[in-house]
Amino acid sequence: MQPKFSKSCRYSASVLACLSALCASQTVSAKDIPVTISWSGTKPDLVSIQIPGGMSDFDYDARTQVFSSTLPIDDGQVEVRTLLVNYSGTNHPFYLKVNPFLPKIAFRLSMTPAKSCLKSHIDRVAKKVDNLPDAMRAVLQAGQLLAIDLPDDCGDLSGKAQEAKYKRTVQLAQYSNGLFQTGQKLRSEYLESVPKASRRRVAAEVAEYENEIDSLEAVQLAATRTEAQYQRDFDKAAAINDVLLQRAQSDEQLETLYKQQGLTINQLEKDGRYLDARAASIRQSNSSGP
Amino acid sequence: MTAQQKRAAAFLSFLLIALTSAFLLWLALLVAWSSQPLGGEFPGRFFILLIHDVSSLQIALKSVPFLVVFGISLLGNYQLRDWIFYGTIAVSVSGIAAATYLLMELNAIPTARRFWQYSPVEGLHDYQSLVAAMRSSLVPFIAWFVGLLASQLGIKFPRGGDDAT
Repeated sequence: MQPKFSKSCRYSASVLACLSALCASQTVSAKDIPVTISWSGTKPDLVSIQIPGGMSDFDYDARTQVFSSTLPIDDGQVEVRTLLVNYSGTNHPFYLKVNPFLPKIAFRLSMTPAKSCLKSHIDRVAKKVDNLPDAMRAVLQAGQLLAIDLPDDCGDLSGKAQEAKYKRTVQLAQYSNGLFQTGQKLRSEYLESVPKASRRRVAAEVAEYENEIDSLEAVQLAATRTEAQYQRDFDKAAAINDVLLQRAQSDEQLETLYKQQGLTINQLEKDGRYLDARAASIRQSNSSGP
Repeated sequence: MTAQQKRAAAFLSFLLIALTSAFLLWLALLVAWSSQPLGGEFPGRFFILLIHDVSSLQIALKSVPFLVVFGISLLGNYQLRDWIFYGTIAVSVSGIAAATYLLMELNAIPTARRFWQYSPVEGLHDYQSLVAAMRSSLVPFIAWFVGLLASQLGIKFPRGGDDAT
């Protein structure tokens, strides 16, 4: 004998069933990306990274002198996560644009704190660099100079230090293929430090830098997609292509930037069909193999 | 000591005081009226080198003008020409004023920053070190000028206002 349900109860049950089905279809698996950070100069007191629900401290291995952690990220997501490096009570924030296709994140921190904000120190960090470690060193050093309190602070040279910090962070983003981002706070601080008369010109310059950094996302993802194709991992390549397509469709500015890299929506859709077909054919040939 | 030698000595003494006083006055005027950095170029750079004690040889060299001028003053009860006497009084007074102004003004954080931020000397790369060095150098300068003033007046008026011109 079948149990009898009222009409409203049957309706509720069907809604619940639909919701659970919806939830099941929306369930996304998270990938843990290993993050290792080594250091030279002065050891950071603490390194922590933003995870869903808060900040997570890195473990430190005194033998290898490496900070390590894992960064959980949902499939198909491109997110900006905050990384805090603490030297003597001062937090130096970094913003990492991460996606689940990154195999790992590893870099080296380098900084020797200065006692006072000398012109020579600012000149050193204001110089253009030509590699990622030097950019990292300059960003940390500039941040440390700006954090020095009275009476040994930067004073009138704060603007120059702020400019150096922003421009070296831009270089850090360039040399890391867009892994490091500049961040809204740094941009605002830089613009505020500029005299009002030249603020508009600098704002335009900053917008150009930011566009360039944003377009690195497409370059990096497209390169990973190509690498996956080269390794005949068409499932991964198709997944990356999906992310590229979603992002291009979700944001007009990104769409324009993607277009500049030759990644139009049409092209991405076409690539998606091709990659899906290749992935399916490989799966089929694997299943029908000996 | 012949009268000619005494005159030459008096002139040398005057020249040393005048140069020191003019230097301090120039620096004081720059501190007061300009907003430019001062520690990296002359005269601020020279001031930093001057107040920075690194070796006993440097201290000995720095003491030479003090010793020369006092030596000449003590050498004798020689007769001063009016222009040298009044000139010495004027430069001593301006030297005292300039050194005192620098002594007070360099305690201000923004002013001191204009020196230490550009300092060519490693030991004077922060506020505390600069202020300490500045105090320990400017106070002897002021004492030097006051001493000179007293000795010149003592030579000029040995017995309470007797004009020896």
